[in-house]
Amino acid sequence: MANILRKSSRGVINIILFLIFFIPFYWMALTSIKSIGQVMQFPPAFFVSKPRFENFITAFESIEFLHYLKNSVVVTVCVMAAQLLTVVPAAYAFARFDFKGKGAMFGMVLATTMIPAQMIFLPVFVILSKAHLINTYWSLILPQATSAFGIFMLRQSFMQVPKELIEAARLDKAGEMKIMFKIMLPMSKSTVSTLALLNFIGTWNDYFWAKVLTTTDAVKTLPVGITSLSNVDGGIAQHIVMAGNVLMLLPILIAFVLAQKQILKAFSYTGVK
Amino acid sequence: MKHLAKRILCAVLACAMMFTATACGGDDSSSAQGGGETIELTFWYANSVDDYVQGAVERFNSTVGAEKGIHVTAENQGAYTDVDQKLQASYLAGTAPDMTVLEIASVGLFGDGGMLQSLDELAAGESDETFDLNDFHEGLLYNCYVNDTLYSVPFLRSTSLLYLNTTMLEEAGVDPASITTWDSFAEACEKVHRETGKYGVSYPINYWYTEAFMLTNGGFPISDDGKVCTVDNEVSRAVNSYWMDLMDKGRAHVYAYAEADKMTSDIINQDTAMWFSSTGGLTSYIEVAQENGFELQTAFIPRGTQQGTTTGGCNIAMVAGMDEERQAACWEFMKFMSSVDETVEACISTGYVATRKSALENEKMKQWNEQYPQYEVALNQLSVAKGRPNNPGYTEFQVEITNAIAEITVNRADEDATLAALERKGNELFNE
Amino acid sequence: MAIFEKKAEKNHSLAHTAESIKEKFFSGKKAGASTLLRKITPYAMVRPALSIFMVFMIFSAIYMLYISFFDWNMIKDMKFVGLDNYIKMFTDPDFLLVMSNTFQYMFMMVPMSMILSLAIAMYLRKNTFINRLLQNVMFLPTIVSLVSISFVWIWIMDSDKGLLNYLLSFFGVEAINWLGDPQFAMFSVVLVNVWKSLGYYVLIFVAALQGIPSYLYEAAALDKAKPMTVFFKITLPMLSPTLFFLTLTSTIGSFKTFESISLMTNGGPMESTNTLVFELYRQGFVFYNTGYAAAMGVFLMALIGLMTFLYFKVLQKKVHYQ
Repeated sequence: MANILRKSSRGVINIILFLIFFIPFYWMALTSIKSIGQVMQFPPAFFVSKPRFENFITAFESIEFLHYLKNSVVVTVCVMAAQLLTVVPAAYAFARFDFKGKGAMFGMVLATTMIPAQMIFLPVFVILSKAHLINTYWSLILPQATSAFGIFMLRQSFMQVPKELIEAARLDKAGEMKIMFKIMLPMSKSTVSTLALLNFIGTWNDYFWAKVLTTTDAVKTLPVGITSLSNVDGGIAQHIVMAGNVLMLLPILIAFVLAQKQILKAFSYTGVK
Repeated sequence: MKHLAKRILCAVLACAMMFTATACGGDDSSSAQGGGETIELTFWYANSVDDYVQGAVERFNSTVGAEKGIHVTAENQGAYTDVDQKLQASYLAGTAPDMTVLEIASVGLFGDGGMLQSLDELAAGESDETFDLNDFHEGLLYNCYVNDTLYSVPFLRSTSLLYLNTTMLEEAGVDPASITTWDSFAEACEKVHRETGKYGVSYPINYWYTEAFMLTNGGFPISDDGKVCTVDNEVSRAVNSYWMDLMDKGRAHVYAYAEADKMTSDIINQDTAMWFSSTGGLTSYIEVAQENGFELQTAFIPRGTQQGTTTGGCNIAMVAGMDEERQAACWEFMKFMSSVDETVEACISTGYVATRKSALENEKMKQWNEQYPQYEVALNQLSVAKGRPNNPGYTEFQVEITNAIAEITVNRADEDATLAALERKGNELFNE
Repeated sequence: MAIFEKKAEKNHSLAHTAESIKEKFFSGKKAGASTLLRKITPYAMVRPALSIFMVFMIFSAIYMLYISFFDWNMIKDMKFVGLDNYIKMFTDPDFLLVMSNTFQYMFMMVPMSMILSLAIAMYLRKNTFINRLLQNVMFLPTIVSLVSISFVWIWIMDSDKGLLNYLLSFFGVEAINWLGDPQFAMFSVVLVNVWKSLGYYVLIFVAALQGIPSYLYEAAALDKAKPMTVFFKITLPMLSPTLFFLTLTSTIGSFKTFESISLMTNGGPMESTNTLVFELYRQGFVFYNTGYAAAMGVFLMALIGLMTFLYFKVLQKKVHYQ
């Protein structure tokens, strides 16, 4: 008897949890196929008998969607590559080397996590302007080209790699690059995947930097681009705005679904130790 | 194998990065015309007027621009606050655009700071046919000057208006034309609520309207010399108690500005018979009315002891520091954008007022006004309109007064304490 | 109990290891004879990352520190005012409200996030299909952009026509003005942010939970230990590194929360959701009191630094490393 009670209460809790986290997305998708009248309706409509898929087409055509999409892809891929190139060596150095100033440098890395973007975007803009990089891809890549969080996490992971392995490799006169790629990285695959995923999500969805650092449409990314959807129809087009947001969510959603297995595996190895 | 793949991937990505970053240093949106001497200019604008502005810029580029070898690229920066913020940042970096719109309240800030090019000489060099300052409605010029120097030219200008869903009003037995004073306004609200159960008016509390309402009762938040804050007085209290009364009787839907979406929803669902908005939204509202099956009219802000309204919108200004040739080129663009034909186009396309007096004689405008008399109301209101305050501290005050009035009317905070605190803060800000 | 003796032993050797790591780490002892290349290598390896940090973050922060001593609206010339901005900041009653809001946000956000996510992680820690499914669904908020989902939440929380009040009406609860009532607005913002980050924390906690060696639990079961005891004496200590790390990052993150406030409440209603970072942005880039805003930014960073320091001082001892 107690078993049935427990099972059914678990069932109820599961459903509640599921709903709490899923309903906003359901609402988002639902709104994107409604007409504006249905959006404003009250009591709210939970189903739509005549889904208006043309909202997606309107969203797509009202702004330079493909162009923003291209920019988002370029910036995200480049930032991921940049972070890979800057974070891995730095984490390795902090994890397995001793050098003068290491403490201070690592301290500085940690200190950067305490600096809010709103505090520094003005000087960053000025620096990039003077370097004539505003409205080029570099302006969006450089400020995000590295990650303190990534260095910290990867360093932890590298510190877990058995010393003996590295010593053996060094005895074999293996170069540091080789050690990094053939030993450290493979052993930290899960952490790297996690970092890559979080990086991808963060950069793809970034709104603040993309907004304050661009003054033309040239390298504007999707999150900023779709905010101009709110200007469609004199500002009364929430359904179109949501359609645009759904379109923007799709690539990550697909990437997430595909990388499912990797992610859970990654998280099951990570856990900060 | 995996690490090799990773290395190759890195290399490929690095190359891709270099390639894309250098080859596409942003899209090359400015195409040279006929090679050689074309002057490329950038113009920043704001808000959802892309259709009109991009169209106007194209018209310029293909006529005057083509003739004189000038090409303008217009970029939408978002809201007025975004324009201001980017303007300052880019000015700091030395990469400011050549021309920009400025919300009329910001002209003082930028003009005073030396960021704008004075237009006195350029304007003086024109004849009455080519550019006549006197052809602009007086009410609009107030915010073009800073300390008696001309810094900007009227562009997309507005007044606040009363919008009426005449279908709903008539259903409730109200004659729309009778709503001229605050008394008749209250009566109309009462009838609408009684007959239909809906709101008479839907109003998100905002400084722009608070100013207008105070004006119609003989007051204003700031003194004419811009030095004294005048909110803690009978006029404020009269306005506040008027609205609180309507709210309590269920005749008005009043809420904080952060919830302004409610107004849109009320309009579309026809839950409100009246609302206040800028004339800049007129064209959109007419569309909304047509789509939702009701008739739309516009009217003056109701009269209290006098008629009054606030103005808004933007002017076009030129950034300082350019050589004479570039200045002349910018001036051509500014003249074009404020010409009679363009101002008529702008009015029809958006609802902003036609800034030129002679626009009234324009055939296209006359026909349009006959068909849609709603467009003339804002124009007629100009004669009783008050310009935006020039004091740089007023920007911060706008937020304070919006919050304070909402506090009092929506959240029923203590009026005396709140108004006193507001006035103190205002005096501080105005005299920094 | 045998297990706790084992732990005591471990603790001891652990403390020893921690000490030696600390020594090596902070005293800069050389690692022995190395070639010149070996010496340069670490510097070369950290250089890319450090240069980015130095140029974009450190330099920028120092620049803003410099500006904090001036009165400047970005257009006119700067006027040196020394500590005036700081004095003004600390004597402004509005600033006290901002500070209180900031701490209120932190004290609501962090415990709520940690407790809820830990509880849910405990609930979902068995590796079943349904549990994995739920974890995935919970992770959805993390992958969506905050901008997109803020709009959805604004509608859900609308006082007249929102989903939330609509559902509440079925339970006879009166409509709450989630975003417009000063008493609720802060809570609403916290709610949205907790909702957004819960999935991420749950995933990490579940992984950490699944990483706890089962022999510990078996031993406890043999000793017929009560669930509460098991939780506080085994689970929690084993989770403490994760908990420490997440609490720290969550706290730092809470001080930097900007976008949700900017999009949902704009600091209102009546400044009830105006936090330090939001006010600093507003002062600097809407009101153009840039010097004043810079002073606020410096103070914010100092505050975060202080919190971090306190965290390490107070909580580090309680963290149980393996």
